[in-house]
Amino acid sequence: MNPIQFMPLGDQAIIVSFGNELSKQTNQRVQHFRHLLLRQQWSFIVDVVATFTNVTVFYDATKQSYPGVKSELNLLLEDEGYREVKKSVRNIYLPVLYNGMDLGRVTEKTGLSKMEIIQYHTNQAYPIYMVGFLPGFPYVGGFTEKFSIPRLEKPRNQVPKGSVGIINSQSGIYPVSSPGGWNIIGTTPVELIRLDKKYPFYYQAGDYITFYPVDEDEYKSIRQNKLFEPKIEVIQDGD
Amino acid sequence: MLKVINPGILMTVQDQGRKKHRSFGVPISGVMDHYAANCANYLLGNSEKEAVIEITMGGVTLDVVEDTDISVTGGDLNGYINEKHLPMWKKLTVHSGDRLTFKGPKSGMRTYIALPGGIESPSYLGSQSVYEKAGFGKAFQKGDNIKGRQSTAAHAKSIQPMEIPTYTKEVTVRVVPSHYESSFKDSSIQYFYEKGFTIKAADRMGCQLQGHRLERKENIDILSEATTYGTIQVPAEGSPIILLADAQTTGGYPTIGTVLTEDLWRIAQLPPGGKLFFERYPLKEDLIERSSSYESIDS
Repeated sequence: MNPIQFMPLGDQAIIVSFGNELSKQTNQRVQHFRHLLLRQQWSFIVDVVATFTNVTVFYDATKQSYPGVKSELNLLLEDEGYREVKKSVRNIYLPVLYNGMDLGRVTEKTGLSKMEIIQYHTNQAYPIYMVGFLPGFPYVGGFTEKFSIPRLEKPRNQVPKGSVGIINSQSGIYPVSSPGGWNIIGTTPVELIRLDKKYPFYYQAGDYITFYPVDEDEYKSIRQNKLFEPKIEVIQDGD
Repeated sequence: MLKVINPGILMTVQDQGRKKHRSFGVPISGVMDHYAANCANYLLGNSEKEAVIEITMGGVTLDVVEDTDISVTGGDLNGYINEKHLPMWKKLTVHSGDRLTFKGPKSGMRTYIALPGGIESPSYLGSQSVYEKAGFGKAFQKGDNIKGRQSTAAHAKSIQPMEIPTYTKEVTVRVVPSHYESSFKDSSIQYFYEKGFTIKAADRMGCQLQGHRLERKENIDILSEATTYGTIQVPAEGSPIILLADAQTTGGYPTIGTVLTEDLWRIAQLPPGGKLFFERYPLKEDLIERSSSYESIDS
């Protein structure tokens, strides 16, 4: 196991690094530590962001200094960092119409048929390693190594909202239209940012997404149904 | 109440931003120049938390529809009330029929207008800061009304002349080095802290710098990690980009450091063509070992 490192991100955040290699295990440690931290309810903590192999703690520098935060985090890691914590996470079921503009390229690069791509992408809960790049853009990991294809050499100027893409055995969703370089295999009809809600997002890092295929009619009916809510399971993680 | 006749390049409502939603990929947003915005609120006796109007570069015309107290701070965008120069950094009362214009930058880049009790506008995730990409509010358009919560200031206050910043075209900001610093060539780190950079272009997301290209010892792939307002990324071609208030919350480019929070307003007010110098500012009890390049800079 890599030694844990503490590094400043400016004067109001500290990066706790669990290594440089992306793996399911490392990301599980990241999610575990984030939960552990949130549970402390320390008043100096402003926000805690989990990424692939790091947890970044944004702190209120008027309440705690950099060395102070570092020593608190270190103590917490020594005491509880390796103990299992039970936590409730969510598994969100997202419908996808597999009509992506890069399906051809993906079948070519992976040697998989469209049916096989759909099979490997659906019907299993995949972990969200982090959310970033765009509001609500999930980096969903743990897919087959057959999906390990690079991003587009030339990013598109505009990837439409709802596009579902893959790169490097990960899958991502564009909650808003944006420039981007993921290989687009499909589209979800679900609105991923709900502005009328107090909590506009369905998921955060540490949660799971289960994709499932829909046909064009189902896609349209979900798209038109303003009241559509994806199925969400609460599951106990870390048992 | 004010009516927007011309919104100029960009005029938005901003407050202290969304600081607790980065795990959803939501940028912090908020005012770019916290000092000036806080002063605008202070002059009217508002809490620092109240939203203000941020005007970028000018080209703005506003008509006063109902009498109101206002305060205007930040960069000097050559403001007028009717035919007269608009006094800044003090409480004013403007009257129905007055026309406020901001012609363009004389010094600085961004002006703040506060109204008594704050500004009425929708709130998303606990903040009124406009971030259009996620649909969190909209920039002002022609014909929009800008409403303060009150029309007269609760406790008008004043600011001493020495508390008013001078916005220059050449600034130095302090940088907390990143853990990727040692992946850059020593000569590039040295250049970064010794020679200045020119602002090529800037918006609320980021600021592109032009100058010496920073080179890395070797190109290694970096996994995306958290970034913040002030983080200096260096893409493969070597010209640094400073991430600002509306920047994405994660990034996969190597970083050389992050600008000290206290100094961010200087960058927010630096116009294109302005010159930026960096001063290395490691935090105390930093675990990162000082690289030999740093010693060579010191000597």
